[in-house]
Amino acid sequence: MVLVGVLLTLVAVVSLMLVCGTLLCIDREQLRQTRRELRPRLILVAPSIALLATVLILNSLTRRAAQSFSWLIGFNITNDIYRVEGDFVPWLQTFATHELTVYFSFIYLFGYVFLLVFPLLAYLALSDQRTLHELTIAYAANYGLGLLCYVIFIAYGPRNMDIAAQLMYDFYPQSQFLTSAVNVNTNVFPSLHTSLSATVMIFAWHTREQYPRWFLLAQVIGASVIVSTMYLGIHWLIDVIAGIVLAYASVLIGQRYADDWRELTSVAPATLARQVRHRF
Amino acid sequence: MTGRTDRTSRRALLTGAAALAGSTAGCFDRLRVSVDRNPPEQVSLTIKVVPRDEDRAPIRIAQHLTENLERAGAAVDIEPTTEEQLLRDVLINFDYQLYIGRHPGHDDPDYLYTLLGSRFGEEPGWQNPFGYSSAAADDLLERQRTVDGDERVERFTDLQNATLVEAPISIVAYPDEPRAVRTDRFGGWTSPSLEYPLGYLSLEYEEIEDDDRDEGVLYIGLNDRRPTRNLNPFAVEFRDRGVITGLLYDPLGRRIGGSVEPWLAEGWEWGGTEERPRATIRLREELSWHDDEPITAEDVAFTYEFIADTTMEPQEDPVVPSPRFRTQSTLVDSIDVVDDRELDVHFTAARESIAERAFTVPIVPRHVWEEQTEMTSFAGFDIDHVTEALVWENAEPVGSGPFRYADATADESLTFERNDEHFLQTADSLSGAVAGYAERPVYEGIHFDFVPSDASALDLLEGGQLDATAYGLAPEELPAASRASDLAVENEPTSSHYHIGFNTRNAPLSNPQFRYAIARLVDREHVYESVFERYATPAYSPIAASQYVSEEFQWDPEGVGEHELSFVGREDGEVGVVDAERARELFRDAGYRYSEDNELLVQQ
Repeated sequence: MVLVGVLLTLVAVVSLMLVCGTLLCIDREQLRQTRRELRPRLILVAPSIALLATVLILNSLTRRAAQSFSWLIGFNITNDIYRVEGDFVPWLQTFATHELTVYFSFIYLFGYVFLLVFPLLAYLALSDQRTLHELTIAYAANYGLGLLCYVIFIAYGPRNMDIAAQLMYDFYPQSQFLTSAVNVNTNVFPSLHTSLSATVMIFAWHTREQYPRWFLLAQVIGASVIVSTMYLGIHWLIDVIAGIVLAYASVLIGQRYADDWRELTSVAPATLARQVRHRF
Repeated sequence: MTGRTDRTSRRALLTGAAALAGSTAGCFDRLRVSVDRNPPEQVSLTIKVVPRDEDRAPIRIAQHLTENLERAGAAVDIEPTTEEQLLRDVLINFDYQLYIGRHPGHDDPDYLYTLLGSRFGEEPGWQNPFGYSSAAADDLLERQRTVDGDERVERFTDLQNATLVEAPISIVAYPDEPRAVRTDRFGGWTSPSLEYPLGYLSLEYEEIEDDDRDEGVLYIGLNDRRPTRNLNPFAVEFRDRGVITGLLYDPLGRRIGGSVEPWLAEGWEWGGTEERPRATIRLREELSWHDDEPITAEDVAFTYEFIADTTMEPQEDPVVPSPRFRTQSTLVDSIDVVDDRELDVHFTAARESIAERAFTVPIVPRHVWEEQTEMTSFAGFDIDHVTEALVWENAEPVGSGPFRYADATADESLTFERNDEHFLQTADSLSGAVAGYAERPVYEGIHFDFVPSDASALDLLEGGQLDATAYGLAPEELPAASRASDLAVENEPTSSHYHIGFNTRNAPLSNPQFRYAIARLVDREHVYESVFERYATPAYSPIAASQYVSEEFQWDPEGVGEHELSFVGREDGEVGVVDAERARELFRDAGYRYSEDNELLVQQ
């Protein structure tokens, strides 16, 4: 019941942000053209979106199984992380103020979702659809590789070691219904908040000519999301660094395989159909 | 001439060779003597605890102990792990060095019989997970069962003296369970509280206007996901006190107001000798399981044989007792079924007052559980010596209790409904203490909801989506709970304790002196004030919550620093911070050495 409330708030706030983002960053003529070409563009991007959706669904279906499996074979690296980086996160929290907590909690929950959804719309509005394909493949790579890491590594965040305060959950306790519904508290290495944000930031750099305002907005929100993961005591610095590495790898994967995937999915059904016809 | 020269030179050569050989041997001896010694290394310890999300107290005690151990020169790691995994590591696989955990509590100090008894060191469960062995303790544990009154007090005094200083377990505190409860729909939250199944039975229900929840349903917040996935009363890593399964499964007798009173049993008559009693038990009329099968004396006999050996083949190896109810199963020697409703229980050496603890075991249906006696073939731990009975989720339990299972969503919720066939509802007249529970519960059912944190539980309570929490709230949430209208905080002490457990199977923790030194690094006053914010009773004794505790082992806030087991001393009077020099002295007294940099050393 609480979860539904939190979700509705999330949808409402993010929708509002998307509208504002669209008005701010995408020009009218582009939007009109997108509306005209919406169908062919969507058909073109469908395979990539399908891959992303598959990864997300698999991710949520296997989360519990992956978790059990992880306890069986994984490495508990919580203390190793703590020993390497020490009290960085508690130090960061010494700068905490109420205003910062409100800001970073907002960014962590709403800003993050906006940051991930907006570029999908923005790149759909570009006449060249390649970036959109690359981005969706990169998202899928982030989730896929992230899940693999979560199976191999068990790590609790600084707030669970009780060396850092859990600022967001103290300030907005309902949010824990959402975060505990979409993830498990041992999945902190690497930080997917960081890796997905950094992915968006890298793509925003690539498209800075087409979307100069989005480029600036993405850097500000992305950097804030990354800081918020640590400020709120949820992630270690090492999770963030690993998240940036993961983002870089995912962008490369997106750029390298976007075409292959599109070709495969456009050719494969036809080939398959031909073979089936051939056989009967 | 040549020959002489030859001879001389040969002799010289031989002499030289011999000398060389001799000196080489000396050199190698020296090399061997000095190099073939393993250098001592810094003591390295790992403390296992549950993360803050599951319980805040243990990790804070662990942080405190770690700081003081590091001041004493040891290297310490804290390894957070889920409650389920912790119990599996500690109670089943013995895969730990130290842990800080919570014992589920006890009704009688006889629980030490298995917690500290040497012969239980190889068994899973809260059966000596420490691998501790002491002939003196074993003898006292055996003897306390056959005496009562002052004599039993004496046995326990001796036991505490014999074991506390070298014990593998160092008690830190008995936490209070401050529950936040709503008072608009339900009343009667105290005596007994939700700490016991009877607490759920004694609640009063009152309809309110504009109730947007299901009428007559009690909404309870859980901070533990395990009951939504597993309702097996014998699975030790999924149960704490077993309150929730205690609502589904009835025992022969329940503890009401301190003594064991007939429950499924109509009554019992004692026979046999004073030291080896026998009880003739008669079941109530027309009892039935939740699937409408009748409850017979055969089910009862089955249950006791089953908890003693879940393979149901006691003549054959392996014997796999249930890791829960182990002290109770050691009390029962044999059972004779007389007829459908009557049976004779023969006890091992124990007084009646101790033997009757065996009646509190949940009785399970034979027709369900006899399917679970095979060895299991797949699980998260060793499978050679585990029966299906111990790993089975029992997702749709068939019990006999006042509530029956209705529904569950893994990791989210669990729903029970009132069992209208229960004897409390159907019996024409009840006598004795059980009469106080006639026609109870008065409400329709219970809905348990997992809540991810105490703060969100409080939020739900205030919003009227929950009526109470099944567990005590963290102290930092209590001020807000007491301020909220419609909410009350019901606080009560428990028999459950937080403790440091030592795995005595390996050095250096096999050394009682070493364990003793560690136990003395805990500043209980600091823990009391800052971890529990005074919602706890600091303690030294595992039976501090009973009348058998020795006075000298009682917590005495005035006597800080003068106790045989108390904190070794503060640095410059700073609360919680150990005096490093005195801490090192403790380990030196125990025979350990230090490096130049004050590292506590141990020979590897």
